[in-house]
Amino acid sequence: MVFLALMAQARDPVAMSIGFSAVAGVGSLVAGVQAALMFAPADEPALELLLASPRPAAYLLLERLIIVVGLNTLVAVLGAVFFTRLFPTDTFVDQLVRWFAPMIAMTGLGMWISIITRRSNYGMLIVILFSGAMLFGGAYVLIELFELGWLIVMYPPLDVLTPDHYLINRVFLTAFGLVLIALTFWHIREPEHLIGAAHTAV
Amino acid sequence: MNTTLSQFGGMIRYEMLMQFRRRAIIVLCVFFLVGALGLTTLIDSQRSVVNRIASVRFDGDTTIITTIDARTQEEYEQHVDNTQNFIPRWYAEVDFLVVQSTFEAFNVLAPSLMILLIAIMPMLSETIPLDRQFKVRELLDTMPLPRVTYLLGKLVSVWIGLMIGIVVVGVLYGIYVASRYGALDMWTYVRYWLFLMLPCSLIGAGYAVIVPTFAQSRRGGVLVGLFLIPLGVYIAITVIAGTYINNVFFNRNNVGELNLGYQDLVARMFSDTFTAFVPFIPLLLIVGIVMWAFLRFRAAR
Repeated sequence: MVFLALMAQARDPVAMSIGFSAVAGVGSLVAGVQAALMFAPADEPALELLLASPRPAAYLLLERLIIVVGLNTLVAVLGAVFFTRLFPTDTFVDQLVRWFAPMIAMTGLGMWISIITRRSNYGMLIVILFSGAMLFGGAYVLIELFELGWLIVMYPPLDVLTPDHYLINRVFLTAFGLVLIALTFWHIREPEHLIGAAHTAV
Repeated sequence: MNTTLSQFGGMIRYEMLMQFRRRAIIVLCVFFLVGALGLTTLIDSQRSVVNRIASVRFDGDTTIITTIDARTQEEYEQHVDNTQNFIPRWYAEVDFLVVQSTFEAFNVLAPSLMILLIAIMPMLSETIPLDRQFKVRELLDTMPLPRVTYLLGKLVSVWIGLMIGIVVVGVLYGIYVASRYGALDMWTYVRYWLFLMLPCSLIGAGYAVIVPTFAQSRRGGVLVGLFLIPLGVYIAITVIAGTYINNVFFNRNNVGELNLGYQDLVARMFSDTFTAFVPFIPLLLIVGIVMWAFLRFRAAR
């Protein structure tokens, strides 16, 4: 975030195009990657022991989710403070509003992909490629070719989206992330399913 | 020597089978193919609204450019003064539509290569750490398997698997593009895959396999892969910018290059690719030696 802010001040074209969405973009990308690494059944040591104990596996996931969201919130707050000092036209609250919805969406995406594929590298890969696609032309493709501006996850061009579309976009992203997080918790409710008793995974 | 060779062959065979069983290479190649096809389809929707140059011919100091109107599909001619505009000579030597279609395919393949290299890093970085995670390392330590054979076996098995996957993607993508764009300059297309896409991916995969040797678990390997992503992007940018873009786009306006023929231009493009790769090959070798020393050190501890 600091790097992007300094680049934007130096009028670097890529950093300028990201502009005020740097906190949102970097924050949600990092959250997504961390979420992907949070819980992958194939990499979890002694999962059988954990599942045999009276403590549900969901607690483990919840604890890690709290740590990931908490740490990211802290970093986003620091980033927002830094950005608002460099670019006073954008308020602290604007930065956090812009960051929150994609952070939830990417966290949900990273967690869900890692759980269904059982491996963290798939979740991480999808989060990184998704962020990259959004950065390099994703917004343009969604708006110009499909007229689906409300689907943009990061770096929404604020001069193109109307306030109504922006609101729909934020609500959609938050709901998308929450649904995926809920699906992840739903997916780990069955111990045998989680261990992979029904199939071999390496 | 025979034992080492049979160990090496066995490692390649079984590790490659394992790569396919873990589906890492299959996922990578499917991802790459779907990405390239998606980008092609997106660009194709814009392609139909852009006027296309059908042919270029020189007549003294004038260049006559025949263009197809995107809306009416009718041809019209434009006369351009050569003394005021730099028009490369090779424009008149080739079937312009065929060359244009081929380079439009390359325009899609260049960013797709970057996506592939980004994907290769976390996907293949678990190859060696998994042996430690599944406690196979201890078993391997009880066998007379030299560490060089082990590292090379891992590397070559991934390379062969990836090579098979990329060749399949190249063939399928070629068929798709030819069906949408029409005829391609096939020899240039094949060389593009052989001299640019394939070596670039193999070098990226080399780093992804060798660098995480020190990681103790799959998660550790994946994290190392995450930090290798910038290297993958750097390899792709260096190779693409240094060869394809420099030769085909920027040299158009370079007066010294105007008389370069099409075949010479393409041949130079591919020979420059090799120059762009050179720094990454000895570096990979050095990283391999460091990791071999690390394995020896760890075993001796």
